[in-house]
Amino acid sequence: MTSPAAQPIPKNQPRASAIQLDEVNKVYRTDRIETLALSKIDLDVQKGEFISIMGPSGSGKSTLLNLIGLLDRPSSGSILVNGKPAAELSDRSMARMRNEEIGFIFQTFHLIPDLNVVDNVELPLLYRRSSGNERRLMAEAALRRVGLTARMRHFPSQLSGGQRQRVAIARAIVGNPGILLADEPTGNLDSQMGDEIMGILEDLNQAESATIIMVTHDQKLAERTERTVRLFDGRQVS
Amino acid sequence: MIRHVMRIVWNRKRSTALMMTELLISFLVLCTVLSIGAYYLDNWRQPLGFDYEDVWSLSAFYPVANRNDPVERAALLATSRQVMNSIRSHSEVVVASPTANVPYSGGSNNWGTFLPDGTMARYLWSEVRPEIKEVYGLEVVEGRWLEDGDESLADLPIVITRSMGRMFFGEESPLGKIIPRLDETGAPREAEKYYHVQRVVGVVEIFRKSGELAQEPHAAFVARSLDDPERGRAPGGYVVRVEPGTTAAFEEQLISSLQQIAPEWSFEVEPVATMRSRSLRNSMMPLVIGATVAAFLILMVGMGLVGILWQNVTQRTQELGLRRALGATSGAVQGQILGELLALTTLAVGLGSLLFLQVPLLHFLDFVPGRIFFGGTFAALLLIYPFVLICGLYPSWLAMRVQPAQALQYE
Ligand SMILES: Nc1ncnc2c1ncn2[C@@H]1O[C@H](COP(=O)(O)OP(=O)(O)OP(=O)(O)O)[C@@H](O)[C@H]1O
Ligand SMILES: [Mg+2]
Repeated sequence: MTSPAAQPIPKNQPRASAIQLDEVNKVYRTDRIETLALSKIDLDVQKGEFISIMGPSGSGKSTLLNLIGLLDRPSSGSILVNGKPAAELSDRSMARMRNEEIGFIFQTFHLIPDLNVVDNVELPLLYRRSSGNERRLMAEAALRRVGLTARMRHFPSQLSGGQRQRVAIARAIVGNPGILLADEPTGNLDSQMGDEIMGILEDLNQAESATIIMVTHDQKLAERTERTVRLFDGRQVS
Repeated sequence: MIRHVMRIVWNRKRSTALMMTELLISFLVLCTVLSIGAYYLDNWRQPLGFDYEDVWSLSAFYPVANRNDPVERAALLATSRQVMNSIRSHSEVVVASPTANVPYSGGSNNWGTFLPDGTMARYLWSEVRPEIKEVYGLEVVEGRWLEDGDESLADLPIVITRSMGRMFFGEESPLGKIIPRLDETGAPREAEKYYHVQRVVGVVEIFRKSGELAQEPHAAFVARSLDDPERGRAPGGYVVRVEPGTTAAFEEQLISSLQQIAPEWSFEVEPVATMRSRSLRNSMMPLVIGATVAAFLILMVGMGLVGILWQNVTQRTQELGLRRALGATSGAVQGQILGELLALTTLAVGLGSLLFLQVPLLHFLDFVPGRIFFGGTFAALLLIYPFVLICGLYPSWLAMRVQPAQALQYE
């Protein structure tokens, strides 16, 4: 009765994949011990999606994030970032993708203590073609997004934990990457600060349609994301 | 990127102060040693003005009871004439002359007079016989050489070096001119009893009595009287040109023949070439010691530098991993470490050059031309950068190998 032409076009067009993991394993070999940190992980994250990763300590969350962020290579399996197979990338092009397509936010901020706020935020721009003026404008714009324009000349030691994390977010977004990877971004903050940081991430996800993958221990924060990937002992349990 | 590196170095000034001080001191030591080296090299490249091969130095020591007794002076002078004749009579001797300025000898005989601006002008004052031209192989470039009889003229004919002519008369030809005799206010001196006007009759290119490593002195030659006790004294030294191939055996022979003429006198003979070797060795000694000390110092600083940089890289593993995570290639991380090192070095040597070049700029060692200091500084710059880079090679290689995932794992 129904002709193929009459079929309605699916409303929810599948968005393009930002991240695709296929049968990814990661084994850490030290002198004697072999740790299977990740085992047969399949994951597909769409562009613009905001997902969370949960799991007990040692379950492989950070390892997974490092692989997605091209900080490390898998022992086997394939990873595609924005459609590009990580295995085929040279070190140089991996560095370039980290710089242009991925933004990192760490639990412990990792700000450089000898640089003031604005210099810290400018850091990723140093590794691409840009003028000093451009860098300053982009850093200021990023700091505006996280509401920290008043503290640009401060050094990290002069900031509160929440403020430091906002600097780290500004640094992650300064180069307008499509993908944000956050490893327990609220882990070191009280719940109110955590809420605030979560708000910023949600805003980035909605307004800039950034793809966000966030590791968290906080069930409430995980519920605010589109879906949650659960790891246990290196295995994906949901 | 350069601005970023400078900012990091500046913000870390507290922890880099030690490294900077070490670099600064090494650089100053290098500048000093290399400037002395440059000074010697510069002097070495100037012509010497005389030959020293087959030239012997003969020293005569005679007892003097009363320097001002005209009778004794006349007697000593008479013996000197005999000594001179005896020296000449040997077939091994080509030509000989008395002089108080034997090349490479310790002492020298100088004349000092004031210039119109009140500064003291010194020149080597050699009272000689005309034959010394053949002993040394001197070349007259203007006018004439000394002649027999010059020593008894009222105006004493004088042959000067080119540089001495320039000092007194500028670019004008000094021939026929009289060496000014001024007091410290620049006014002409009143007539003095034993003073003879020195009238320039000739110019030789150069005469560097103290040898290759010493700076060129101004020098003058005048004829010396061996007859007139009023105008000449018994010489204490002679230079003798011997036939090529004359052996050391002749030294003894010469001395004993002179001893017969003047039994109360004593004589010493030494080839000028031997004196030259000794003099060069003595002059080089401080430089060699200085260079050795400097080399050790710099080696120590180098090892210290490697240590500090190594520690620096270890302490900054997280930061370096972070830079990798933010898009730095391993090459960029290595560049960061080397760049900071170069920035630090540039600060240290910039400050060092400023300090060191105060020496010529404030005219501390004015006899050394300024270009020597600039040359020494430049050579030190050429040495210190590769040196520092070599020190940074291993630490920066360690930095390059930092794995971002591991470096960022721990706090
Ligand atoms: N560089 C490494 N070398 C050896 N083993 C490692 C390395 N990094 C991680 N591991 C191991 O891999 C497993 C997963 O570690 P990972 O850091 O991914 O856990 P996690 O889920 O992030 O834990 P947490 O919640 O405590 O941060 C752990 O057993 C850990 O010991
Ligand atoms: Mg973790």
